Amino acid sequence: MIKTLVLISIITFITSCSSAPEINPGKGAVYGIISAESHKAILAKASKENDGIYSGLGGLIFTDQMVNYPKLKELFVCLLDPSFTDGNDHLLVATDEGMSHKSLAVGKGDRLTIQNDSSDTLTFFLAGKEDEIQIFSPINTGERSSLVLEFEGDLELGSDENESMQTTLLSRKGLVGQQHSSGEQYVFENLNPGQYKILFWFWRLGLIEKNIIIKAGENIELNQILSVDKILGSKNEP
Amino acid sequence: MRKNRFLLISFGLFIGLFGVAEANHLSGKVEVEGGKELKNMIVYLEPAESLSNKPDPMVHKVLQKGRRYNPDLIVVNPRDKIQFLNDEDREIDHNIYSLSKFKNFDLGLGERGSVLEIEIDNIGSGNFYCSVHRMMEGRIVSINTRHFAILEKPGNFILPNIPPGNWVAKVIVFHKRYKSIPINISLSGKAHENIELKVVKK
Repeated sequence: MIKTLVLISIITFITSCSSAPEINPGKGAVYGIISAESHKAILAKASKENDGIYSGLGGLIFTDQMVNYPKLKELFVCLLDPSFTDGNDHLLVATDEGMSHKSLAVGKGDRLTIQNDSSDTLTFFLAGKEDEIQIFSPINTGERSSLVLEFEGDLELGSDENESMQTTLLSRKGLVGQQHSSGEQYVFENLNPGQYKILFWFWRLGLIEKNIIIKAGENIELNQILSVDKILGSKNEP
Repeated sequence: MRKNRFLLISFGLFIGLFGVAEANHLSGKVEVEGGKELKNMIVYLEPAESLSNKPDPMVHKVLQKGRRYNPDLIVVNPRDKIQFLNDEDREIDHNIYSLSKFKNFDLGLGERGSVLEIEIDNIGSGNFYCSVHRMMEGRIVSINTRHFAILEKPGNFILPNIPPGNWVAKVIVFHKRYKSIPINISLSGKAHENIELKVVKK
């Protein structure tokens, strides 16, 4: 029995660690675990109290009305690579239940495509600062429309006809993003040596920015937990 | 003669203290291009020139019963305070925060019965949330005037007690597809009616 528990603990430990990617000659990489957690004050109370949502062991018993941080699925890790000029492609699907994505990290110059699987014709727009606006052509049911993103910053994708069809976008020049669930590993590999900026973002919490220097033949491990207190406590690097 | 002079001085003092002309109302309607039923637009009058006398600070209260912010749209002025009262029926904790550029704050653990407060520094707007409960979301809008009205849908509005002077009438629209066209208005002691404010597509 004890042997089994030890074995389970070892397996859990190994699988929870992020594994370093293989290094190609002259290249480097950055990798780590992205996760989200509750505010430290809530966690502190959870370690003392055993009542309601508090487990008494530092954990929380999540209800449908709560933000379930360990199960968040739209955490983004983004690398800002000034040399990256090729646009990426992103597909969003609109259905009668809403958009496939609540949030999306994109690069200026990326192509956004919307597939309309809802029962109505929809006209989408992309809004940025002040008067910045890009309009998709109206999309009939079963069809799709695309545009190349022209703006940077915090953007909103919405629909003229249905205000519940909404996606929050984080857009930066040279951004290459990866979407992960909380606790998953991210990897950016085959990077040329140089200075990069890395962003960790969840739409409801905001983002943490860090500068990294990639060296040839080296891996950088950078794990990041997103929480309200950690984001407000971090000083985003210029 | 002496009595008349007294009356004249008294009248002059009254005018000096309370302004040449009395405050009056401004009314009109907001029209949205295409007839779109936009919700929660804020009509407001901003002084055309910066005012030397800023309005006295106010305290606004936001309740949280049922895991909802009430109100969830708060219009304030710089120097105002907002108090968040946890008035839940049972032991429910909240953590109110905002990560907006306009005003970021983290009020920590807000237990039942707690009153947590922030002070507004600037004009602008930003959303606030509860980090525990996913449906708890609100918005603070800070403007430089107390003369405003929140419209649940496009239509008529009335702004009472507007002092004479030069004003700019504007509409804050949260739907990002639309913007408003400001109008300059000169008020001179009588009611100003039938103002038409246009909200158009960008």
